[in-house]
Amino acid sequence: MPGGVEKLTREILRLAREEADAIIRKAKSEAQYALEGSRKEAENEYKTVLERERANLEMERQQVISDAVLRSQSLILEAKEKLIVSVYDEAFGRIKNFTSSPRYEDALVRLASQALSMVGSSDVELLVNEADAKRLSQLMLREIGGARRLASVKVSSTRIKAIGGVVARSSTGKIEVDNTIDGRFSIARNTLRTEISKMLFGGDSV
Amino acid sequence: MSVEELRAVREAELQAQRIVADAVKEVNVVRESAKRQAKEIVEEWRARAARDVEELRSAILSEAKREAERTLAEAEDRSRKLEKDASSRRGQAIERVMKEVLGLS
Repeated sequence: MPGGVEKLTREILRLAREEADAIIRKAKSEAQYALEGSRKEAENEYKTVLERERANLEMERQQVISDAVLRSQSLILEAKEKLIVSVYDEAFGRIKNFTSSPRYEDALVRLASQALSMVGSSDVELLVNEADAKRLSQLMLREIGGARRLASVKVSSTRIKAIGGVVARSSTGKIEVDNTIDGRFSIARNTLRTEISKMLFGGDSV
Repeated sequence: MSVEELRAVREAELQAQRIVADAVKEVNVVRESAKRQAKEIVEEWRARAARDVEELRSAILSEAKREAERTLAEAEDRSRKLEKDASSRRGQAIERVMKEVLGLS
């Protein structure tokens, strides 16, 4: 084959190889670029997921700790409440026993006197339980009424259900003062709560 | 140019077309391979995210649980201490209630 044609065919093939190389190089470069893009996108997605989950977990963590704080506060409040209730229960038991002792008569007279002063009427009847009706002698009534300069103080035939103390009622029935131990205990449960709490727990009161 | 020479040139042109056609085929292979790799990369990062989130969850919640247990244990200690400290003042408190109820205060 003459040299000119051989040169021509070689040139045709060289150009074809050059074109092929360029095509492949371009495709590889595009593929590499696309891969980098995918890697960056995936990495960003990873960061987003981690940040979101970290925020969710932080909320979950706060919730777990808040629950524990609430549970512990409630534990301490329950312990305090239990101690306060035990004081009232013990006091009530002792008062109940006290009403069977001879010293109770003085307390009964005192409760009756207080009730009479609160009724503010000169003609009063006292409502008491069965045991206290027997305790309140005529002498005691005269003593109570005399001290208050009352015209008449008598024990009512109606009995009350209380562990002790009196209900004083004016003769007209319009004024009634509950000075029973049960009533006073019920009031003391509320009014003394802060004081008892301070006594028991000092600065750490309820 | 002789027939033989024309045939040689024609043959070279056909070969050149085949070279370019092969290159185009290779481009498709490169693209498919890149797609596969991209998919693998995404799956790899997702798997990594799932693994790391699980590790994070375990670490954060374990720490929170320990803190919660510590808080509760402290509260239990404090309750016991309250009970112990209050026991010496209990008698005084009972007396106070009794005095109030019996009208001695």
